[in-house]
Amino acid sequence: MKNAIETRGLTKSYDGIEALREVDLSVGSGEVFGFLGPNGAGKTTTIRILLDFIRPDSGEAEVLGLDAQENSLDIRKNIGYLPEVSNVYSRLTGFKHLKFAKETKNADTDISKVLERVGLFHDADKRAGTYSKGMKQRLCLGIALVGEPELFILDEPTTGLDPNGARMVREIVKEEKDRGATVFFSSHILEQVEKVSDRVGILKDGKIVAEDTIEGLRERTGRSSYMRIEVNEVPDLRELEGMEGVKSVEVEDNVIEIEAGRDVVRSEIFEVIERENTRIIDLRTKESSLDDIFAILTEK
Amino acid sequence: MSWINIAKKDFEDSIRSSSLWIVTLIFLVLIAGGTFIVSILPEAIIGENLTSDNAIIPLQGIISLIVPLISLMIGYMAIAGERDFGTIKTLLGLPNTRFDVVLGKWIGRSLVAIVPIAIAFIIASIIIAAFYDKFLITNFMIFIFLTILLAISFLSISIGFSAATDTKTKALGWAVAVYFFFMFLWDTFIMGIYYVINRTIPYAAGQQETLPAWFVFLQRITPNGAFGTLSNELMDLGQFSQYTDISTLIGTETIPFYLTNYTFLATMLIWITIPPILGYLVFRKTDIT
Repeated sequence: MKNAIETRGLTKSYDGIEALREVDLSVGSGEVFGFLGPNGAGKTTTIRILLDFIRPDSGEAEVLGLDAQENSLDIRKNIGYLPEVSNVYSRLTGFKHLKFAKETKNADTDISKVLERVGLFHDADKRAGTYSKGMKQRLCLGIALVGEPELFILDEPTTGLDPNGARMVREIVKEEKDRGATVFFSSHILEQVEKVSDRVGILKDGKIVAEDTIEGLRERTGRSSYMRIEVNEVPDLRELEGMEGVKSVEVEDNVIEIEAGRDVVRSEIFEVIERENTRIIDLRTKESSLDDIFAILTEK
Repeated sequence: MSWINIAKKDFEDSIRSSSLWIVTLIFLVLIAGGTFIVSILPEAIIGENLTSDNAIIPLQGIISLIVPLISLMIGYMAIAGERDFGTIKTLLGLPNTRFDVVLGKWIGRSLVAIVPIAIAFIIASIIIAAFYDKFLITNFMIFIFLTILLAISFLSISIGFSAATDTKTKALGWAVAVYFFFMFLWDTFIMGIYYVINRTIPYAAGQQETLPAWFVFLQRITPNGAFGTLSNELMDLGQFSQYTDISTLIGTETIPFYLTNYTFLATMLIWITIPPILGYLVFRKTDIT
């Protein structure tokens, strides 16, 4: 199956400053892809190239199998786009905005359903200029939803939303994925991406520094996982300490804290602990957080 | 075909703007109000037979000053404003081409420019029918037609600049510059050319002097110049002294083709079409950031 988004060697400079350097990206069809990176990394620049708002100095971009520059109109017939800043026509109502999108896309979308999904049903007849920042964002998300697009390109969809709004975005992303759509969304907040993404790409200073699944990213960093095991009585731990991959074992009262490499099979650890009279009462694991990984990848 | 949607949206957006109603009010006061004032002037000034031509003469001077200004104000924000506010991304994120945007905006704003003029002229017509002795329909229709051409010419120029600039401030700067250039600086500019060629300025030797045809041509190819010329030639009311009869001015019986009415009509059509096209050519290639 063709990829929803494919870029090769995208490079773009503004006034001599390199915004993107040789960006290669592939987003599979039907995938939820989180495009991560700190502010100013080049996420929006990449998205603008996909939409043909700007043209790369070199490199190619394909969206839905079509050239982003040559076939932009055909591409935009089949995508839903949310801009990085949700600006609206202040004198037009929310309903008019969606009607305009519907007419432009020649879609048979039920506007009131869209309004309901983005939580603007009761404010649809108000002028969008009176909306709060979050409501404007919801309206722009609604515009993206019109016409059941094959691909969503959402630039920072959760920025500016309260926790409820952010949850709504995640729900919509999941629903649209279930419908079979591809979702490509950018964020500088890892937490928003982690919860819904199948795969993520991390951009730093205009370069892709990682493109992988969340799991793959965790593995790639080669960090440890932590276990906090509460037992009825602390057993002899010498064997555990000697196990391959176990980095440290600490005991405090009847709690054992273990740091182990990711390749260590947990059940083997449990076996060693429960060998004699010891029983595990409580078990908590903490994986090295993606925050740590994100920090390592984007800051080093 | 999505330019129709853009034109519709732009017009709907504009009619909700208070500035459109202010413009309508201005035209009502000037055109309808002016028409009424002419009807109550004493016979000593107007003569015995009050016709609609009597209204046209004072109105045209006002219109040639005000209509360009208002048209530029209506047009300058059209595209640059959307880029400035960021709404252009919503527009171009949907399946609209940049050509659709320029064409849709051009048509939407043209309607915005025409509607207040039309309303004012409808009211003026009612006043003429009610208070004037005679309604000379042909001249009045020509007058409305030329006013609309003038409005759309300047509107098109500002749409062109609006498409070629990225902020409303720059677009406003161009609109103001265009106004002063065409209304006040153009004549000086043409005089300069005349001076460079002839080492003298027109009429330096006295009023009887005739002018070279090219000079007359250049003087009148601005939208307002073409408007004045066509007003004089088509309605023959002698309302603009600076647009004296061309054959008297150049001192020959037959006038060259480039000084005929057709040429000046074509000039206005060029002002209406070329600036938006040039603006589009810049806009087409520009980065939307």
